[in-house]
Amino acid sequence: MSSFDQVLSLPKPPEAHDWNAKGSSLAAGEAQVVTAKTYHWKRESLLRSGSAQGIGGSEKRGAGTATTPFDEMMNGRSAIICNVLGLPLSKHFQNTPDIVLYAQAIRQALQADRVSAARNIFSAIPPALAVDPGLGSIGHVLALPVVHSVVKHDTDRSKEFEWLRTEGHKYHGQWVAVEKSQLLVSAPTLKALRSQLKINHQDRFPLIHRVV
Amino acid sequence: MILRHSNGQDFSTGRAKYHDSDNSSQGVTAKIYVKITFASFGCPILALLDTGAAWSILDAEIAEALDLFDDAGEIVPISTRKGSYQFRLKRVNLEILADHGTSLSFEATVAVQRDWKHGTFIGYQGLLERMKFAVDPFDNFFYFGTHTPPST
Repeated sequence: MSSFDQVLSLPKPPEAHDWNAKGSSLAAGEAQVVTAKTYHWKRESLLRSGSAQGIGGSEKRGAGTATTPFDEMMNGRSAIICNVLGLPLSKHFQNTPDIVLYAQAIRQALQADRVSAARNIFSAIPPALAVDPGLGSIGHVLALPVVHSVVKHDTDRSKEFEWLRTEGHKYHGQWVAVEKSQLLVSAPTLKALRSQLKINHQDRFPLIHRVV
Repeated sequence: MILRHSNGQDFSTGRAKYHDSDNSSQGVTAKIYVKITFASFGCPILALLDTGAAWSILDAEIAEALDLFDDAGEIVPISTRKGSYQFRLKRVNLEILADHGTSLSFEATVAVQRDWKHGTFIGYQGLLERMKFAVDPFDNFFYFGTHTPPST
């Protein structure tokens, strides 16, 4: 069993049968995948109905805090997921939905320049969570590049390269558009360069470069 | 023009002459610039090949021309010769242009930053990692191709 399988097959929460009685979708034995949305919905509904007090007697009100067995289960889950993902277990992660933990782990990997690790974490996200728009956008940029050949080619730019070698240094910090051995346009910004090309050289395809 | 593996399978499908200027602020050693373009751009631009770079980086003015500054995308720190910056990751379509053979078209991830005005870089993650390439420094040729799974 892999570490992530371990996350997905956590022990049943205590009093899960009581949640079933309240019409919970988090049935005993059901895949325990919790999104931010379902987490808050479930927690709020338990507190609002007051039923939390009757579940295992663990409701604690006062000082702005309230804990349900659902919270307790989530804390346990958080601890295990934090451990698996290599995140420091702190109060910050208590009651944190899985989706946030995965995002946090991916971001930590990216911050540390560990792109492969970030991809591995993303690929381990349960499908039910991966459809979340937030995680989806992370997955979008983590995806491997898609590449294919296209029947298209540019001309040999040896003369342009020679111009850059011999004349380029005179245009330090500028954008230049060079065709063959001729400078067509130079400008301080790419926008200005493209604008001038559009006006004066619309039918040309020069090499564009910022001389740095 | 085309490089082949010893088993006869193509290694590269395209070849382009590269620019190897050492007359720039990118350092005193010669650098390899290859030609790339974007669908909405038309003209080729030069990008510095940097196999040591985690991500490809677009010059801020190119990113602006491609409308990539919308404050969306994951933020990554990148340490560069010009200092450390927080970049945003974006998915773009770009092409590496061949002089001979076929060019390569990518849907790839690049990093953009409004203050990055130090050129465009082709890095490993998100781009080079899915193509094959070789450099001939005697004739300044950059060979490239896609990965073809071995036939069974």
